[in-house]
Amino acid sequence: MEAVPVNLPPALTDSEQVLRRALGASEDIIFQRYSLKADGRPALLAFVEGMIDRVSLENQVVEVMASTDPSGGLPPRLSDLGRLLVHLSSHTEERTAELAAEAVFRGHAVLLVDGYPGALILGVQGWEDRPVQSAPSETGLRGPRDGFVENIVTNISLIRRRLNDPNLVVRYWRVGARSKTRVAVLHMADITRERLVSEIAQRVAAIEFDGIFDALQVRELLTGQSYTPFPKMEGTERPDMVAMALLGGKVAVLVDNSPFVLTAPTTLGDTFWSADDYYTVPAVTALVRLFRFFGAFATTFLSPLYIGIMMFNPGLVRTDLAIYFARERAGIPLTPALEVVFLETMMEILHEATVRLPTKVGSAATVVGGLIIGQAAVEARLVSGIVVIVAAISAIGSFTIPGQEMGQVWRATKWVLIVAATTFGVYGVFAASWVLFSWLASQDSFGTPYMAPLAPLIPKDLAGDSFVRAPWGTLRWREKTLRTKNKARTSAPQARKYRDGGER
Amino acid sequence: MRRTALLMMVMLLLGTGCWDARPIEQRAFVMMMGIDRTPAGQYRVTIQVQRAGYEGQAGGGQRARAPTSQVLVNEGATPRQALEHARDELARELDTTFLELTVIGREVAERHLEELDWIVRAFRVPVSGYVAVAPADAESVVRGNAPGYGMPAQFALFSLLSGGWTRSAAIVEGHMWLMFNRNFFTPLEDAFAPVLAAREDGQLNWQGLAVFKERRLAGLLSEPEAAHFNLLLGARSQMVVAAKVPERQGAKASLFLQTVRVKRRVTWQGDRPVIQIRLLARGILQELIGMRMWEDADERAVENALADALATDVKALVRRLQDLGSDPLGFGELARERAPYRREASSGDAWRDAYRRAEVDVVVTMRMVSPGYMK
Repeated sequence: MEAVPVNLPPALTDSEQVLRRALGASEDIIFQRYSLKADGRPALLAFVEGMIDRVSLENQVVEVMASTDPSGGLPPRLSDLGRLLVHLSSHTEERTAELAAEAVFRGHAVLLVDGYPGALILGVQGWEDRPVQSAPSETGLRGPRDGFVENIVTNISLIRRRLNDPNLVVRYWRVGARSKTRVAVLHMADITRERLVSEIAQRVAAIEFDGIFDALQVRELLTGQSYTPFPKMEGTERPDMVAMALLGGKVAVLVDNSPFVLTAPTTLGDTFWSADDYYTVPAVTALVRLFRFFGAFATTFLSPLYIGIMMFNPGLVRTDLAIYFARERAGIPLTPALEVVFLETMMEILHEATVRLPTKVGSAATVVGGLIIGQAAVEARLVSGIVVIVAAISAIGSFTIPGQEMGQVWRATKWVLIVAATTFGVYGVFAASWVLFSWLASQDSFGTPYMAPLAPLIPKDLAGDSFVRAPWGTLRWREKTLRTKNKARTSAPQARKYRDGGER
Repeated sequence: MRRTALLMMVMLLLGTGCWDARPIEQRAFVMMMGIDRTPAGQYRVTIQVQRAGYEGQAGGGQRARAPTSQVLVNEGATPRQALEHARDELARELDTTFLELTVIGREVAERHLEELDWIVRAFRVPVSGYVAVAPADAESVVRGNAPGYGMPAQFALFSLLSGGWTRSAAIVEGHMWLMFNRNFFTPLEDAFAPVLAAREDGQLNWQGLAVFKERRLAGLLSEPEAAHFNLLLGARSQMVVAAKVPERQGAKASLFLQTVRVKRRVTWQGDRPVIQIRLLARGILQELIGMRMWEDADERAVENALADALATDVKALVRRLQDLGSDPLGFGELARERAPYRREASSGDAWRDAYRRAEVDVVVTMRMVSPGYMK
């Protein structure tokens, strides 16, 4: 049952009691008493320690109260008193104790003055913030270096700096019954499909959970996915990527206290593109993307195919190779499947062990795990040298995929294929892949097919920004799959001019 | 969708499963197989398998360079039974997935070829596998060596593959599926296979072509004849043609053939078939001795001389095949195509009779694509 709001009465002793009740019994909430110079009436400041800027409070409020003595006496209304005593750009008036308490927990200070009903909410938030730094999970060689931080206002400003357009619309929500986290939904009013915006806004408003701490947590609540490893919304730390996504017709979701910003809709192809691709010449981008696909393929399929070939279908490789494999495997006590499981498990343990270690310790652990254990296992003839190569290529392949998350997704997929390969050989790998890709083709992200522009086949999108990135000048159209309001990114004469290599 | 998924599951369970798993090191890949007949009427099967790798060396240590292959000889009432005995000798599963070459002993090729028809069905052999005939027994060929190759069987494989080490026209590719299924297609064609021999020093060597007549070895062709056979098949044409230039006293020329376009057909003169062969050959002049090419007429004279020499060789080859009564080039099928209702092309026996009487008409057009500096 919802609590009935309690108004703050004019008498300070009463209003203090009401406010204390609303704030609870926490010891980090500070109550400080003052008296106004004008007529000596008592006032009370309440705030949470560490969440306010003490210097602003002292200079702009406390000192003013102690020195201001208006000749005509104090004004009858609290809002007028605020204008007189508070030299801050942001201050509002609240009537109820609940709203005043909520403001205190958000980092505001609350001023109660005897004889005035209600409270003045003072915008003196100030806490330690991480400065804008480069995105640790998406480092790039080219392009801007700044990354999102944990402050939603800073994050929005980073996007706004890139899109000086009145059509960039920001809408706020408070989600989380207890955390009351700020969530912002951003879109371009004249580009993004209305239905997409309203759908995401509706889902944000409908979130019912006690605490929201990160954007990737919000992603799960928005997309409603259960155990699907493939993400339906992409999380990025780079403001330039978000700005690009917004211009492309996507929607961005920002969550306070999270350095990740979600963009939607997302296709499987999007997870392969890195920020560097957009700042490198298209020919190189095409090559790099090709190798990235090879990397993903190697991560997912190399180990299962090794098992399939070694245990069931050696006829699939050329004669020399089969004979070489047979000779290398001779005398190895583990079956090919167990070899792979052993080494892949080692790799996963190593990965998990090093990912959270400090850099210096981490590199030492990698060396110990990768070199010493691998080398020792081969020397001891516990595993064959080939499987070490297979596992190493498989591990390195996962690092070619931008974003750590997708690397993990493909590695998880690999384990399913390993089971299929161990049970049914190469045929099992193909059957499992068929099921996987059929399932992926049936998925969608906020109405956009997950495998687009391959399934369904959209040649126009395929020629734009997919396996290759067309030169910027010729990227005239926004992706068809996003069904944007405004389809062209540049005018036809401009595109022609670019194509012709100069002025017409 | 649901039906496809169901079908796939059924196929998964029926097609393969963990019960079929056999790690690669537990398989003995048969690389080459020779089939002979013993005087007692048994089949003697000689197989070359890859030697198991570092067996008995688990636990580390140096890897010794062991011989790469081993040869097993076994006898049985049928080739399959002989192979079964070979299987008993090995601690590994016999696997014919990589059986690239099957060598047929002369005795088997002359009298018992039809008994091998089941060979492509009984064993799981690759459809691209090759077949060869040994000039004597197949065992000595399978025991042969090929320095420079990890396995002796690879010699045959690499030389037969068009991307292999040689493009010599004298090496004719004989495919196992073609050899043992030819009669399914038409009774008017005969089989052929290259001859593989082990020289005195044991080195494997191609030595011409074996041609068959009604599933019996009809005769062996020499290496130059095999080269012209290849030319008429349209398979390989890289060979040297040499000739005297009759229009220029004492002059000789040789030319390396690059491409040859072959047109073959069979027409009729009354009840006598006429085998027409038209060749358009292009090549690079290699040698010109005793003359110079100043004029176009010199060039024509050289071309004509080379064309005549090639035509004579080709005609001689066809005559040889006629004498042997073997039609591996499929002229009978060409005759049937052109006149399907003629009695002569209605059966194998009728065609063989007409084939022996056939007239051979060969016309070669020679073009020098590069006459060299001499012009």
